[in-house]
Order: sequence, then C-alpha cells, then structure tokens
Amino acid sequence: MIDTKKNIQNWWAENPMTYGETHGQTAFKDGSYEMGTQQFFDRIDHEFYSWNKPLHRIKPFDSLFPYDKYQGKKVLEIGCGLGAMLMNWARNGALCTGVDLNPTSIEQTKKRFELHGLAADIRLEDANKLPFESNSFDYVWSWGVLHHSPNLELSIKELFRVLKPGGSFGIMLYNRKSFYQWYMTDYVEGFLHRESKFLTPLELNSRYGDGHREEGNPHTWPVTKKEGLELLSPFSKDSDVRILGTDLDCVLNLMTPGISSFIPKPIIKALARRWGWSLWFHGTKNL
Amino acid sequence: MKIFALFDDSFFNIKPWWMPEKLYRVVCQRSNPRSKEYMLKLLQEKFPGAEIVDLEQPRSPGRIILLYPDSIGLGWRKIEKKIAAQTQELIVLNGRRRIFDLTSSTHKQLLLRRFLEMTFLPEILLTPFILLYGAFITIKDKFSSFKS
Repeated sequence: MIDTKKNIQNWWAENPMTYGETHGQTAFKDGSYEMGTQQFFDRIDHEFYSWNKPLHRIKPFDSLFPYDKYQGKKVLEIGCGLGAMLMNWARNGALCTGVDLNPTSIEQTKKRFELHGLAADIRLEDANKLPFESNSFDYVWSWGVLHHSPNLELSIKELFRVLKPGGSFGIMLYNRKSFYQWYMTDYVEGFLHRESKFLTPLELNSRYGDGHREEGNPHTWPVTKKEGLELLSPFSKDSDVRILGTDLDCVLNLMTPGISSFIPKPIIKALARRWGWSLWFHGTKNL
Repeated sequence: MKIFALFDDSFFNIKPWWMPEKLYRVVCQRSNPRSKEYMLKLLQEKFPGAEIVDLEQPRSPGRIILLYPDSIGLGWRKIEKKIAAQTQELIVLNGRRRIFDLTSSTHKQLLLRRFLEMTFLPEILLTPFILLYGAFITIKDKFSSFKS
C-alpha cells in the first residue's frame, strides 16, 4: 500500500471513524442516522463511550482527562475525528482547538459544536506541521491517530513543540504486544488467512488495523511500550504508560465464543492491564 | 486459452450441521466473505473476459479460477476434489484480492487452516493456560495492592 499523505487523507475523508462495524457507516443495529445531525452525534458518542466504559467515572474519559484543572486553559486535540472527545473538554470550560487531516472530520466537528452551542477552533491541519506558535497549549492529546501517520516521530516532535513547558500530554497508540495484535492480526489474518504470505508486517497491520471490513487503511503501525517511551524521552522526563484493555472482552469473545462470558471479570481485567490494545502515554513536557 | 471461473459461498449461507451456532457466527464474521457481485467485479478486473460457469457445465479446455469469497475457501473441499479430476491448472482469486496457484502444497496448507478455523482447536488448547495465567496474575495484583 502506498501511504502518501494524500492517500491517507483521502481514505479517512471517505471512511471517517463513525464507531460502527465499517468505517463511515451511519447505520447501526437500531437504525440509520443522517451524518451531521444531533441524533447521529448522540448515537456515535453512545457507541464510542460504550467501548471505553472503564475510563468513565462521572464524565466521559474523566479517569484520563483532568477536565477541572484546565478550565479557561488552552487545550489541543491532534486528530479530533468527529469531535467526540473535544466536545467534553469544551463542556468543561477549556479553550479548545482541534485539528485533523480529514476534511470530513473538520466539517462534522464544526457541525457538532454548532449544534451543541459550543465554541472551538477547528482546523484542517497536518500533525507533522502544526500552524501554532511554540509553547502555545496547556494540554495536548491525541487518541488513536498518530499510529496512522507514517512519520510518528515528527508528529510527536510537533506535539511537544506546541505544548508549554510543564504542560501535560496524553497519547493513545495501538499496542503491538497485545492480545488483539497477536490473535486477530498475527494469528487469524496473518497465519490462518495466509495474509502474511502476501503482505509485509506494515501492510498487514494497515490492512487489519482499522477499516478491515473494507480493504484496510493506508497506514497503521502499532508501537510497543518501550518504543513509545523512547520517542517521548527527549521531551518528557516523567512520561509513563498505562495499558488500556477495554478491547479484551471483545477479543476473548472471538477467541472463545460461548465461553468468554464465564471468565471471571477480575481475570479479564488483569489480562487487560497487561495485554490490552491501547497504550496511554502521559506525562509533562520538560521545563 | 479460455478462462473459466467458479463461485460458491454456500458455507456462509448454510451452517454445517456439526458446528455450534456461536462458533459458526464468529467464523463467518471474521472470514468477512465478499458477495458474488464483488467477486465477479474482481474477476473481471483481474481476468478480463473470464467466464463464470457451474461445476457440472461442460466447457472447452482452459484455466479455471476458483473464486473464494473468503481468504481460504471454507466449504470448497468437495468442489476442489471434483475439479481437480478435470484439470491441474487451478488458480485461486480470493475475497482478500489475492491470486495464487492451487498447487498440492498450497492446498494442504489451506486444508490445515480450514480445519483450524472451524474447530478452534488452538484456542481450545490455549484457553486453560490463559485462564491459569490470568488467575495467577489476578492474585498477584491483589497481593501487590494489599501490600501497598
């Protein structure tokens, strides 16, 4: 697969993440929704938040995001998608900026904010070349986006450039040492379905990382904890990583259909803490 | 040389009698079989002019393309046995858009993978170990949190 920036942009514009079985779908089990309507945003939020239940206490994702600390402060989301996360920051009083390479995402996020009567600076931008002054933002995050960029190192460099010294960050990347990777990508697709005979590891991950019900997306490369921390180390002395295994129920159900519902929850949680599909890197920028 | 193609997706329409429903649904879901329409379009793209035929249909000598809707041809064993008796020149075009010769060695690989896909044998063998490991780390984590 050719993973030029234009290919990536076009693919995501045609197949935005709508949290359904296929990218870009607006039909769910309970009905079809017109993209850009209040009902559509409510539906996709419901779906997205349900995938990440353990991360919500009172507000969505508040076990990760310290909303109260950033009221009146400048926050930036790199890869805002359809605005599901950015909206919560705006609701909690942060001064929000969201960027995405995908014009569909920008259009939809602007609609979402308009419908909810919220304000934010939403721009079509490249994570490799952000248009902001250095040291502009108090908090910067990116959720499930940067592993789709062919130049992760540059994206991270840019993230830290625009973050204020002492400012906090959060980056979610897919985990190459996870149950999902080993079982679904390497075993089921790579071995059982013989895709490893036709695809390089990068191509295999791109084909089956996101959009696998269609023909895959142009670029996905999961990282390991070690690789992620190494990329962050020049910019953050206190960077740490937490494994988020909100996917593990689903993977176990695919591995052991009919049996997985009997596996005790504490065991699933213990496995998820070690072998979940998402790595949450967080910390502060060096002073 | 004329090119003929065969399509069959009956495995994904009729559950094998011996397969538990839940396993069958998971196999169908992860096999992601393509529709006949998709496969015919793909056939014309890769082999323009190829003619879709039935297994029993008489035809002149030519190459035969097997259109697997999934990646490994679940449910194709009987068809492959019959067709192998008629010709050695078999090519597979699968729902993942891969093209390969159906040699004896490749066929053996496919048979093994179909068996593993449908029986979940590796998963059945591995699950007790995963549960034991899971129980061990659960207790370990509980102990660590009590200590701290």
